[in-house]
Parts: sequence; C-alpha cells; structure tokens
Amino acid sequence: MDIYNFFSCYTNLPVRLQDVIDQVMAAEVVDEIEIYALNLDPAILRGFCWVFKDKPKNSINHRRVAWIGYSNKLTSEMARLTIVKELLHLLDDHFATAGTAAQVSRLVDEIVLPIAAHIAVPTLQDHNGELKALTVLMPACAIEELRHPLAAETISLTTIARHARLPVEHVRLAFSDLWQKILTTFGVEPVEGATKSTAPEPEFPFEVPSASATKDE
Amino acid sequence: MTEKDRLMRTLFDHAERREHINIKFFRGTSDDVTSEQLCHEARNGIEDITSTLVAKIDPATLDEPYPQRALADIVAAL
Repeated sequence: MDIYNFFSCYTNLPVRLQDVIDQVMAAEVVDEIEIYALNLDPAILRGFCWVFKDKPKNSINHRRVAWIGYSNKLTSEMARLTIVKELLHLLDDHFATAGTAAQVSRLVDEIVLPIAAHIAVPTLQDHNGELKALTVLMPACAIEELRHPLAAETISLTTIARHARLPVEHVRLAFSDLWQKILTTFGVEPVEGATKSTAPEPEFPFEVPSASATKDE
Repeated sequence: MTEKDRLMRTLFDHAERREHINIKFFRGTSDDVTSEQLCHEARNGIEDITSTLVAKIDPATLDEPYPQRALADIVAAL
C-alpha cells in the first residue's frame, strides 16, 4: 500500500502532520526530518525540501537529513499543504532528479517558467505535488462520508475546510467531479461509502508511484 | 556572482560537511518569478537555518491547535 492509499481511508480530521511524518519516516528514505518556518516571499517561493547527507560530530555514521522550509507568511492551512507536499517528495525517486549542480540549475530554470507552461507541458507538472498533498490531507473516505451532507446542504465547503484545516478552494476541488480522475492518476483506489475511524495498519515499504505519475518540480 | 551561483555554492560547498542529495522547490504564486529571485529566497532560507537564526519546529506544535474529530462524530452532529 502506498502512502496515498494509506491515508485514503483515514476518517479523522484534520489529518495530523505528525502522522504523515511518521509514515514517511517509516519508509526509511531519510534518517531525520527537520521543519522550519522561514522568511520566504510566498509569491516567489512557498517552500523547499533539501536532502543532504552529513556526519554529526562524535558519530562514525552518516545520516540522511531533510530540511523542509516553508514561508512563515502562509496561512496555517496553506502551510500544512506545503509541508505535506515537501514530505511526499521524500518518497520520490530523488536520486534521479536534482542531484547535481547541472540538474539543480535546470530545475530552477523550469520552475520559474510561467504557471501556464506547467499546466500545458506534462513534464513540467508543477501542480502535481500540491494535488498529492491534498490527496493525503483530504482523504477519499472523508470525501465520501461528507459528500451527501454537502449535497443536502447540511454542511458547507467552508465548514469542511475548517475541519480539515485546508484552504476552502482546495476542498472545493476535492469535492469536484474532476477529483476522482486525479485520484486515479495517482493510483488511489476508489472508495465507496467506506468508513473507518482510524487509519489502517501500514504495510512497508511504500510503493513509489511510477515516474510518469510523480514527475514534479 | 549570480544568486544561482550563490545557491549552488550553498548546496554543493562541502565546508559544512553536508553532501547534497536532492532539492525540490514549491514555487510561489506569482506568474512572474525569475530564477534569480527563486535562488535568492532559497539560499536565504537555507542560510537562516545554517546560521541558527530559526529553530526547527516540533510538528506536534503545528497539530496541537487543531484537535482531531472522527468523521462519524462530525456527521452525527449535523
């Protein structure tokens, strides 16, 4: 079971960041994850994830460390999305993406292309990571459970967003007809009326989605 | 020296005994971002961490203000 399917049956809201961190750590791709709120201009850079290897003083072993930085000017809801987006990158096949100076340089040049280019060109899918984070933070089971109350107008998107601690525009997307197609792209199994009060026991290691489905900035 | 050069030096200079493995960026919302701006922000962010100007965040403190509720309870309360 990959991390997306793991959280698809999670029916407590909001999804806790610590739970996402625990699942990523269980995949053993890094030894330490450190999160920092930084003075980044969110119009330019909302966040980043830098993975490096170091050797702490008085230690004979190297460790793999991930520094996740996010703009301290983001709303708490957008900060949660940003942090989870960067956490999910740790499950990418990151040894093949930006490991050299030339690759980082090319990545920077691609990232700053106009957003429209990222939508139009499949290999520049800048929005994939954000959508994957939404997949985790707005679980499919929760969507299914709340779909009928939403249709009956006994709950609003704003209230759901408050329970999920997500931006309301992202919740609107998660409840749209388009969302199931997006989930299918990420390999998330359809959920119909399933209800579990807690997430299932994880199976490790997580499967990393195929390169075509995970290509990101 | 450009901002991109400075970022590369931050990432690949092993003086701090850090060996780069990978980096990912979440670009900002502006449709008009230059590589120099992006590299400037990223480098400043990393240098704020390395110079210990900012402390790492305990994820529990990000979760604490928002206690979880079971969906069943949310629906039952509607």
